[in-house]
Amino acid sequence: MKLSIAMFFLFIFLGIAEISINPVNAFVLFVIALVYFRGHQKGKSYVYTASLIAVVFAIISILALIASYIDCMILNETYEWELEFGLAGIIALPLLWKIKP
Amino acid sequence: MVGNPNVGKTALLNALTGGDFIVGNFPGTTVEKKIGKSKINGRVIEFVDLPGIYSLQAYSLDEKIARDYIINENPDLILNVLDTSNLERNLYLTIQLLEFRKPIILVLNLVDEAKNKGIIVDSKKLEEILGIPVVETVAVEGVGIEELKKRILEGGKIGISVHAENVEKRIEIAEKITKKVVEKKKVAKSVGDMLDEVFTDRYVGVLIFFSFMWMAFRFTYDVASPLVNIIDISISRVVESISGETLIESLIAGGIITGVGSVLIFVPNIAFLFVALSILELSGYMARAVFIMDKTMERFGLNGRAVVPLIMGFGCNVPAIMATRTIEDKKTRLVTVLVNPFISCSARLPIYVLFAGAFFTGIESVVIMFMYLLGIILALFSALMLRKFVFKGETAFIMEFPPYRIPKLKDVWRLTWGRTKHFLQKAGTVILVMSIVIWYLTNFPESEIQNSYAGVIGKSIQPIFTPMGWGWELTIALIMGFIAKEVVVESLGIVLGNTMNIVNIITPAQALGFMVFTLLYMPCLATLAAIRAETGSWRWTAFAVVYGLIVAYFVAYLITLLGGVVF
Repeated sequence: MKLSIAMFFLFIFLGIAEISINPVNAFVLFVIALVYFRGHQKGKSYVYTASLIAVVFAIISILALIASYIDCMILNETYEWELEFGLAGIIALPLLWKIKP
Repeated sequence: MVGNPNVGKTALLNALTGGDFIVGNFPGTTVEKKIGKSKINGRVIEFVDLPGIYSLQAYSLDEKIARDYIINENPDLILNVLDTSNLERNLYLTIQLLEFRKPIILVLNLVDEAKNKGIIVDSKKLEEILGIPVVETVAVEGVGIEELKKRILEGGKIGISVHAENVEKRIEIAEKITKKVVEKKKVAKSVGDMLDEVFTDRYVGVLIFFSFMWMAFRFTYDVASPLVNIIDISISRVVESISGETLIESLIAGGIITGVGSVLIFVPNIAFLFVALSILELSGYMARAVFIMDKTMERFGLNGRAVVPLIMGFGCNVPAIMATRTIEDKKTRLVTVLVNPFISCSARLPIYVLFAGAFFTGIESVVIMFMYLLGIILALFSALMLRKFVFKGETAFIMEFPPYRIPKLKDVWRLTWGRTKHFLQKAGTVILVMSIVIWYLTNFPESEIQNSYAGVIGKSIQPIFTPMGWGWELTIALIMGFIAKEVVVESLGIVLGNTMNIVNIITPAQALGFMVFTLLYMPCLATLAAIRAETGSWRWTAFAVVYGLIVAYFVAYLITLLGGVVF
């Protein structure tokens, strides 16, 4: 599956970009990349599961982003946008629909 | 109500009684019998939900509870609940129950999941073969409950006479019956099959487990943060509005509100942690986590069954220690009980959140995750030592996977509320009383805190902690924390006036050492009571205290030293 290889490289790139921001978030992105890679060898179960983990991680990242924005409002602080590469996991959502049996 | 683990007995009890008992998607959710009452056509019926068991051989404590109940309590009717997808294995217990010659109704639960797997059971034929009423249900949806109530009022039937002299014979009978009543249709690979293939993969399974754990901690700390801040600001405003000039005002503001408030602030973190754990459990993922961790557990002299109590320990060590009842092997059970206090319960979370927020800005979640991992590592290491030198022997276990389910909001709420309620109850009782005690100790005989009882006690014990650099304020918090771990934060709140003043008295390295000490130093009073009850031994209870203190002291010292190099 070419798609799984493409997703593998995408998440490797995201993981490398995230390392300096949050190494544990980067770890999760590398795990997703690894599962996509296994998908290339072992089939669509891996691509489906990798997409599921990516989407769940993206949801958590979105919630954390919203929470930090609300925090700034409560504490009367200026909000500063911090890029988080886990958000990109949302692009795996169409794959979930496509592969679902 | 009797049946194999995770066949939906508790869900059925809720459906029959309108009760609010906690439902899991994990074998071993019920380790004690639960009782619920219902009025059916004017008749009051008492239902007793027994722990899930595979047979009446009574190897483990929960099996003994179930078997003894059926033999000694002489129930009017046995509701034998079965998972329709696993009929053959479930029928083994049915055959044993038929041997008791008591009225039985067979409940074929989870018929919807069986149909999705292409498994169709001819319940009429099964009824004819066994000679007992058979009712199909989907307990969580309330399907078939009215029919079941009707059958309950009819009283069930004693059924065919079975005389199986051994295990093989029973298995043979179950196999024959299953062949006659089950029809299997070919279905495409389900989502559950696909997920299982990956979650149980020996290469990526463990990595996925740690990824989910990390997501749970981010959810607990980052996402809950606004609620924590709202409560914090509200409590600070109330305290500021009270002048604290008179003794009563000082008690209310500086004692009760500051004390209880400093613990209540962390209720959102605790509730969010429980939401995350509930979703993992109800979705069926936790059982896969147990499976992939089984090999690791074996290396430490435990088995996969020990993972359940260890994971439950993240909530509270007391029910976690009770959950060890599902472990058949006595030695494995005792080791799991003794190492459980090293698992970070929710009461320690306020300490981590406070110190991580105060000293490790930007990497709070990483520090909190480190605390949880350290607890797990030390629990496993201790288990290895105990198995190697004290409780020698090997251990193994068999478990089945529950199906994947999208967690229902109602069930997530029930699980979360049931566990968070326990924390709130403590805030209203133990912590409230301790607030008054600590306020008294810090205000008498002199209001100057250095010369108060707390100051004197703290200073007299403080030299023990000189190597770690902790002052008497932290010492008194540790002493009070023996009652309940939440009291550590509460004590600091009262002694320091505001918990955030902690940054003025210790360094980040000393703070990390203190966090480690509170993780390990000794089980709280309730956990000690649970250890005493489950081990039946004062000797092992004393061991849990002494061992915890020794490990805590040395590891905290080491962490403080290492922390001094890093921070």
